[in-house]
Amino acid sequence: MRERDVAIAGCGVISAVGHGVEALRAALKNNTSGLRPDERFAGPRFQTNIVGAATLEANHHNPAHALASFALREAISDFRRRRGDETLNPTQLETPHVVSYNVKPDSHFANLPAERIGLVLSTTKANIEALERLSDDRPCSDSARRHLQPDRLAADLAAEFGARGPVQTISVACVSGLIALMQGAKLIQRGAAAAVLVVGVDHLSAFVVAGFTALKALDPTGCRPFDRDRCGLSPGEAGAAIMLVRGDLAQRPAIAIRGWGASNDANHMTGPSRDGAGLAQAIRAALNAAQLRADQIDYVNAHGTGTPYNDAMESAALRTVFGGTCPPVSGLKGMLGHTLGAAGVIETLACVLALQERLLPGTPRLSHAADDTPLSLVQTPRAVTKLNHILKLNTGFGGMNGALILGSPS
Amino acid sequence: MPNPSVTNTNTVTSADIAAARLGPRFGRMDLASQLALLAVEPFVEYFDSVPRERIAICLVARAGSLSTDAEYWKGRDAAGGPSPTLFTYTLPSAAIGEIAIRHRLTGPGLCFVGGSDELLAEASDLIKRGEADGCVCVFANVISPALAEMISAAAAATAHAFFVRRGEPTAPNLGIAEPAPRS
Repeated sequence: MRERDVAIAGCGVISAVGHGVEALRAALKNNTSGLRPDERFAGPRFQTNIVGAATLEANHHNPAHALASFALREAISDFRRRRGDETLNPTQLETPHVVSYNVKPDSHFANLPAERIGLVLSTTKANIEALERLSDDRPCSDSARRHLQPDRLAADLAAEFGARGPVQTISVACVSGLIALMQGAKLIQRGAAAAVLVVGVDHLSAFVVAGFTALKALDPTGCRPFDRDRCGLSPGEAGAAIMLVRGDLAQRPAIAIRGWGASNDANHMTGPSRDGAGLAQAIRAALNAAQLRADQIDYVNAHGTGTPYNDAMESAALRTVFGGTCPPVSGLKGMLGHTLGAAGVIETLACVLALQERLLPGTPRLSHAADDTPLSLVQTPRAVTKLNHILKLNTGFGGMNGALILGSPS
Repeated sequence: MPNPSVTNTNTVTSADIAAARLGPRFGRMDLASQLALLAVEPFVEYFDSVPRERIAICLVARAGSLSTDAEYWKGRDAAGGPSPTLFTYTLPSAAIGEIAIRHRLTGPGLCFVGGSDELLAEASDLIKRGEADGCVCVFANVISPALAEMISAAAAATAHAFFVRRGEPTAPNLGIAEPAPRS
């Protein structure tokens, strides 16, 4: 591992395909879709009720807090298990609303001082349940009201989990998760923290589903990334956490963040550029930072929302960077839905599992690949013998683009 | 490598909006984006001194997009549903997109929600790391009177902006107001 590399030391997740990392691993192997009808979004107010919902306690007042807490708890348990400090009790993963702990925060990180642990929260609308409740004069818990300002959610999560180092809240549309991972890595590289908990969270809300309905951006039958008949996205919800540590503190072998890049299309607030130039700029910056050639990328995990313009733009960007030899590419939003602020973290987490399993994930719900997509599009998962570097992409409203490269243990 | 240098800060308030002449698109934006865009205007001269793909935008949205969120959600029961235009601005980072479009800045974008502590440090870090050669920095604080009561904070409508670029170190007066008290 290179001196400046930042290692991935723990993962936790709750999503439409279940509670815990093993549920996501199984879904990746089986190409499972977690999209299904949800009665909360039935009726003419919404374009569709097909969403990627996580199983939460009904009528939860603060779902973002619950999702983030669940993911953080599993990530820290994973970190401790890898260090031999703890045997994870599977029953701990059955109650996503629980936010009390049996261990003192100081003991979470073994011999890592709490002052050297940071937390970066990635979200777009973690606070919106409280706004909906207060607007409708419905009951609203004190914590939900407090978390109307998402930086307070980050501060409370840091306090609950014993992270007393730098705390940041990142909100950069659907690129938030990748930018948060970049921020976590930067905090470690510049010595502000020895480890950083990066947690991405967004929950399903009438606010968001109505907004995408107003934009006519939803696929009534559920999203079909890169499909010739794709016509929109499917909202999803998730909490996903990745614990980053300084390379020399990682248990070997460790998967590492090798480089990243970000850019802006400077073109349109909601639509991607047609030529993919902005995303190509971000990919090239990531390759440069990772000191890799394009032909050293073994797999691309795309943003792949399932909207006609996004998927076409991504395909154009990949053609620009990789020419006629694009590595295998697939997208996971047909499995998880579009989890917005959590997307970059949960999809990166899926890439970590892909590296562990030497597995190219498929593209759930893809039936017929569109003509303009790369020929290397992976429809169903397949094992490979060589999988060293994965390029993860996300794009978002406001023309945002992000690219992150993960490397397997060398 | 020389430390990043910082321009003086430009501060605008809602009182400056009416006199702004930034084209028809400006009128369709939410207040936070309008303030951010207006605050950045004096720094246009710097944008020609750096390749525009090497200029980053770093935004701190003190209260996220809560005021716009509340305004958008008021339209939930309207015929045809809430406004798709307003929905676009229910992202705290929306102002980054508007600044990028107006000035054709294609470098990285970074948006924090909360206090202004990170702004100069993160902008300087982007430059020191070589991810950008210049960075437009904006601190926006928009809390509508209706929202102020909801979150126990003072109403506000201001934006402060400055520009960071490679150069000799300076001691800027950032002029950024203290964040609203936290409950």
